[in-house]
Amino acid sequence: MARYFLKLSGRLLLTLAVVSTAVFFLIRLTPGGPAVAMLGQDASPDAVARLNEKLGLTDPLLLQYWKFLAQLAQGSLGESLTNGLSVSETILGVLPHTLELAVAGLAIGMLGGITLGIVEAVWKDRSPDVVGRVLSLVGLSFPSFFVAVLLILFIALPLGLPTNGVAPFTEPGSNLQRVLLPALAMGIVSTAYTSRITRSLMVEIIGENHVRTARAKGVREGRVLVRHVLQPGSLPLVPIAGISFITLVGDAVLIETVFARPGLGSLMVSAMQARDYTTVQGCIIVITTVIVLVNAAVDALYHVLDPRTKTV
Amino acid sequence: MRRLNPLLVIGGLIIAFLVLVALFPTLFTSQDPARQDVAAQLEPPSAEHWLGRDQFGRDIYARLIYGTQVSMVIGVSSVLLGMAVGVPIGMIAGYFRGKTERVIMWIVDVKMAFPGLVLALLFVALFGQSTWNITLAIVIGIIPVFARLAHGPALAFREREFVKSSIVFGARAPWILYKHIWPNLRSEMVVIASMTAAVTIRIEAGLSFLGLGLPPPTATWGGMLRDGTTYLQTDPLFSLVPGLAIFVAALGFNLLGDGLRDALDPRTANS
Repeated sequence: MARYFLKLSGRLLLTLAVVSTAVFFLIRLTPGGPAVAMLGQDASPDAVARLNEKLGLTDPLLLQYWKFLAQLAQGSLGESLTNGLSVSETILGVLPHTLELAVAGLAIGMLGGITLGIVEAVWKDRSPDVVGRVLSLVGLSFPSFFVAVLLILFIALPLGLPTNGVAPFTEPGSNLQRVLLPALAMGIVSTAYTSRITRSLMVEIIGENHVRTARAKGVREGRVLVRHVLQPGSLPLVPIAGISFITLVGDAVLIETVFARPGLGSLMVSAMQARDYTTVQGCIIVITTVIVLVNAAVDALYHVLDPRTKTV
Repeated sequence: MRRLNPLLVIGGLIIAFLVLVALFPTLFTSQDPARQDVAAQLEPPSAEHWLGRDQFGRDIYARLIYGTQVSMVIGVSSVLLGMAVGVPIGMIAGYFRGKTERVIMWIVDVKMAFPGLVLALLFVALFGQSTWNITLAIVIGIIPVFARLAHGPALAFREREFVKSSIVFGARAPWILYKHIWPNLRSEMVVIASMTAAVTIRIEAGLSFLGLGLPPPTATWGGMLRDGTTYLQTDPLFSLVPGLAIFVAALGFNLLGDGLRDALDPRTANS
């Protein structure tokens, strides 16, 4: 167990080192700095130079990189170039909202997708399957931000539901109300994706010998489904949930913009537009951390659930 | 002859129509998509302006027609580029094994784990919003998808007799990859390419929606949807029209891909 965590933290550090270094240099080697973004294209070169100096962007690149690493080692992501606030505090303030949104979207997607996939596999080639497959192709074609617009237009506006912002977690009722529609927007697309994968998984297992044997033994159909199809079929769904979660974190960029929700995605987009290097850097580092941790959790869960890897 | 799959036909027709619109926009509208008329802001649909006008008085229908070009060009070319780079990379990894395979697949896995949209956003924000940069930004996210899918079959075919005998006869690796391995991947890759086009079109639309696509006054579906959401309550058509366009294009490619899968692979036909 200790070795497992050692390996995990090693992988996390390595990935973070590669990603943060790449982002640090990429950002600084590209044209148009934060000074130009803040002062506008027509700003005098003098004003741009002064602001750059104030922001510490005139230091040699390697010195900047050294400072960045020194800060990172202390767990600090530096200060925003546009408002001077601590990047880590800003991110920690909005991260829970993004995670809440992604988790809710994942729950809808997995629940809906697995149910739909099972129904399709059980009634393979009959009408529920055909309808389900067409529906999932349709769902897969919807851009999540357009689903969000449709939900606002046809559900939120007529019912007078809130369409923007978040509520603090201390008010669970209104918090939930504000996360429901954004999560649904992401969950519909996720449902389509999960249902396709679940269907092909289940169809394959239903065709296997052990299922035929169970049926030949006279095991009731319901029990065959639960014990011999769903149970072995649920294992491959674990990594699918991981992939979906990461996709949803990416999708949050769009959904948070539509619903004007503060979050990691909307923070990153506005920081990109303002060329706020430190905040963009911080967001990417945090997203990478989330991804590595989710992947590690998926690996661990897979091992725990897989009876064949009992020794781990 | 087998009965034609209805999904394939519908998808094919949608895509053929969109290609026609993208190639010959003037066949469908005589309006200029960039011409502003501030006096006619947000004008409702009329005989002359079928879908009304946007916040600058531009014809929404004309912008919809011209926006097709952006979506199709960026969507399709990024899939083709991604396939052209990704498939050889995956085949090389599967064929040569060893260190080459480990390094390539490690990079692929790291990239795969990162949300494609975030990667594209970062790239475009850094390098600027041109057609080429946006295409490249999407391609980077697409390459690993194809590399991953080409890797497995390459690994399997490498061990087959017809490849081994070719090696005995002195064939070189590029020849084997091109003549023996690629033909076996081709139909699967065509299916994946079609379904990936549905993804790339949505990514391009997403970038435009966030204001990081092609800059105005170029008409893009995502950009129109972004503009439209401001007037959602007063002028819902303004955002519904471009949103539906993105949906129909993605649906066309998804139906085409799904239909092709059944048509090209006799094993999954009718399943």
